[in-house]
Amino acid sequence: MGNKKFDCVVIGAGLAGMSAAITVAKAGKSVLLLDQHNLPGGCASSFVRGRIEFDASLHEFCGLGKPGDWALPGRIMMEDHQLDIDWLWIPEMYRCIGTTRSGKHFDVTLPTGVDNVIEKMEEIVPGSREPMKVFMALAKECVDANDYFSNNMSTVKKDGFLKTDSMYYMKNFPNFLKVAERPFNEVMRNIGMPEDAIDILDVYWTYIGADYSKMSFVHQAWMFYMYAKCEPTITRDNAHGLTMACIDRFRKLGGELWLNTKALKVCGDKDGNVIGVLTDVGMVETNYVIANVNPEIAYNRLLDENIKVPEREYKRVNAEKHGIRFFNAYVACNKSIEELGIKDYTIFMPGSFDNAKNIEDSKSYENNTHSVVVIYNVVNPDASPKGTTVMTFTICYTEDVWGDFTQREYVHKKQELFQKVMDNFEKDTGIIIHDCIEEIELATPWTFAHFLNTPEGTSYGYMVDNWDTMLSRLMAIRKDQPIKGFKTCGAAGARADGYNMTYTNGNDIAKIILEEMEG
Amino acid sequence: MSKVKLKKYGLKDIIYFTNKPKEREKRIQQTSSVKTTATFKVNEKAAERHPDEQRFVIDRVVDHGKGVKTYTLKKKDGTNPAFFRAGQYVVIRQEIDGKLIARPVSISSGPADTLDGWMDVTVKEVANGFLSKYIIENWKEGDEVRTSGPQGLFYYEGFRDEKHVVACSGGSGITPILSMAKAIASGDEDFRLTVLYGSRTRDDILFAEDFAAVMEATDKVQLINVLSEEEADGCEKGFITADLIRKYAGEGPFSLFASGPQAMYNFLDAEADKLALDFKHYRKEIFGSIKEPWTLPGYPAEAKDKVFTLTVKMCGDEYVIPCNANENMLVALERAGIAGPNRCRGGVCGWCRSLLIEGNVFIPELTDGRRGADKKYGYIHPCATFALSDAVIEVPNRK
Repeated sequence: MGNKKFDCVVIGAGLAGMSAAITVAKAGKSVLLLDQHNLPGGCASSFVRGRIEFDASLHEFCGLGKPGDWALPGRIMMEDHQLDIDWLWIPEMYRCIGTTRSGKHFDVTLPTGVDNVIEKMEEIVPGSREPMKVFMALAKECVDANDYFSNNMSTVKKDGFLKTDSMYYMKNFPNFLKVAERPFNEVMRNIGMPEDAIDILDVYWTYIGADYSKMSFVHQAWMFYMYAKCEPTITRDNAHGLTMACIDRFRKLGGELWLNTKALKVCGDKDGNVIGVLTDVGMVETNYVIANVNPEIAYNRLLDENIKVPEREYKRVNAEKHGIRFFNAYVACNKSIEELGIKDYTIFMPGSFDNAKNIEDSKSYENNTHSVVVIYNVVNPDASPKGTTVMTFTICYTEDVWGDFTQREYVHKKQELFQKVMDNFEKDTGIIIHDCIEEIELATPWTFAHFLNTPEGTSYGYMVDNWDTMLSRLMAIRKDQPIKGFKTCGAAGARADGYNMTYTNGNDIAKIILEEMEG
Repeated sequence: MSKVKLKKYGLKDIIYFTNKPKEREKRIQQTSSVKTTATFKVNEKAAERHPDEQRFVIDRVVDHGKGVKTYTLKKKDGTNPAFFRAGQYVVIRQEIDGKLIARPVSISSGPADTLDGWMDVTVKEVANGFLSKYIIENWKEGDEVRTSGPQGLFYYEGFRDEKHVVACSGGSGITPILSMAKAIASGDEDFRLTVLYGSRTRDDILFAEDFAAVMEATDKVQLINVLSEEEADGCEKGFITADLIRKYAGEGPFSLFASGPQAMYNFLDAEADKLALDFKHYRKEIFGSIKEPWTLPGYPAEAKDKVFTLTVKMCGDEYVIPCNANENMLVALERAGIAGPNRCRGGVCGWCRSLLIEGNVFIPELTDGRRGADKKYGYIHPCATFALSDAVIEVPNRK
């Protein structure tokens, strides 16, 4: 290989990596995007079994918006990056089936549209209307404040935190300042939300993996409001189509993509300046590297000894806890949704709505059978061949419960778990699938560790915790990236997990690198 | 929307909010800065199960005659071979004249045998088979060889397949079925397996003793030899027809598994049609790359026998190589010594996925396992793609 020189090298073509690569390339820089796999996309991928193509991970994109009225992530993807994506909007938030802490059984479908959700909650839990109005108003304020914040992230104070205009926030987002960091369930109680309604709102916990009695209000509020207002979305060509749209755009901007190419070391000179990336095809010269890699792996394995990692960064990665990880059952039936009697796209089947109990259960194999299923054909008639239905069941774990299984029992453990999940689904919904499964693939943290190389097979970076909230991370977004010429992005980054958040984070980090390039 | 008045929140909450990042910093500063070298159990298990490469020493060679040999492999580092699903294959990677050649080969031992530290692969020398000829002629005890981890989707899946499987196989296509039978005997799989095994004569039957041992251990496996050119006691005479399948399937639902050469599938597909099986009830092991694309519908006759120029972009480098229209594009890359990752050689696994930048190609529908968006954006699987003109492709790194 001859000498290769790029303005910037992006390691890892996951969502954040692709987003960062596009932003830097759009600024007129030469960019090399590397991925150790033969396929780009990271989680945003798909796989083929027989005549079925399964989406690996895109269940419900949150916060896209609509043409002409994009929300923050949508604005970056569709306006700034001009991706060619055929989005499909899902006209329903979720159906959930289970028993609340008060012992009442609910089988509820929440519609989209802020007013519709408020009315629906009132219908199922009388007395919810007024607190729901307050909740939605607070949530909107959080969304607005977050937008304002995201557009004003470039000034840094001496102590490394972002400088914010507190008077502006006091004037425009006073409630945001009061409730954003308060625990979600506590805020709900303080605005008079009935307990059954709190349980039903908490059902999104599997999307975040957090204890709602501790997690910041803003996290759930942003997500809930965005799903209600903008509708959840998927793409017609599944997650791999989304990835291909990113790669196509990146290539048109002059970017270069090397697949099946591993970054072995980020190399520094004796003064600690980044001078290149050693790959398994040789050295690539560059002074700027963005790694779509977990910081723990980046600091401990990727940087060579010339690049000094400040002690505070080792402290930070040691303080973090690895986030949630998943069991996914990808199932295709040889019957249509009409034949199966399926109407809903998303169905949460928590059994019990008790968030505290569910969090406890998510630390074990035996008790954790609370699943959510998305059924693609409800929204996307092209999701699979005519007369078939494709769906994904997901279970989330907050601890490593798969690491102790032996090679021999592993397959049986997967099958035993899916049997329980399927039994619950059939009992809860009356929809019978066990006799018509045409293709099935069961993925566990082992699978994700294999394909993503993330610690413990986690998909969601670091756990969003009471001490480590999204806003605190955002305030420290520059403080957490102290190495000149080297930044990390992705699910372990400031905005935490999810397609929307990682894509936005890649763009944030690219802007910081571009500033460093300009000096 | 006018601002909500919050009674229960005030200045103290704003202070709480403002202090939050500082609290985080305090927590970080209180944590140890020791550089962790922790490994993770899940990642280790995943790496054991899905190794990129396994280095073996040949422990034993069994010559079955007629160009078929079984090689017992033990890991060079003394660890166990990767556990697998019965029916899976490994890709043998062999350097010949300085060029890396890769071909999938079925595992003929049972998954439980890996726990005793060994794995069998069975190789049959095929006409014009570059690698199979090399292996049969050269591989001997003590040689070091390397393979991929276990690959492939031809295995029993209880949520999909019926409790009774009728497996039709021909010649050395028996190997994945033998592995399944052994897995039933060892308790790693649980289904009833009726094997219809097609051979020309009794002398061509492989693994008779292995099957006898399995049937000694379990009554869930039944073997019926079907001889095309000989009458023999206890054997069926003729081909594996719909009637024969019906006869041994008996009452109740069953899944039909097939493993054999392309010619067997051509025959069996028509017989399966008569059985009116659903998609899910008829599963075939991939038979490797399509050999004579010009025999398929839609192939433009004028391309046959031509040699085109293929420009290959790889990690910033460019290679210009000849590409024989009669062979798939991956073979051209292999002949030039620049083949990248590949596994199944039958269009489905996607490991060789590449971008077609320029040129016309023929992609047989039968082995087109591409993702939908890949078709839209012009990606191809070179192992299942034939050049119809000079072409430019961009391929993944070969390392």
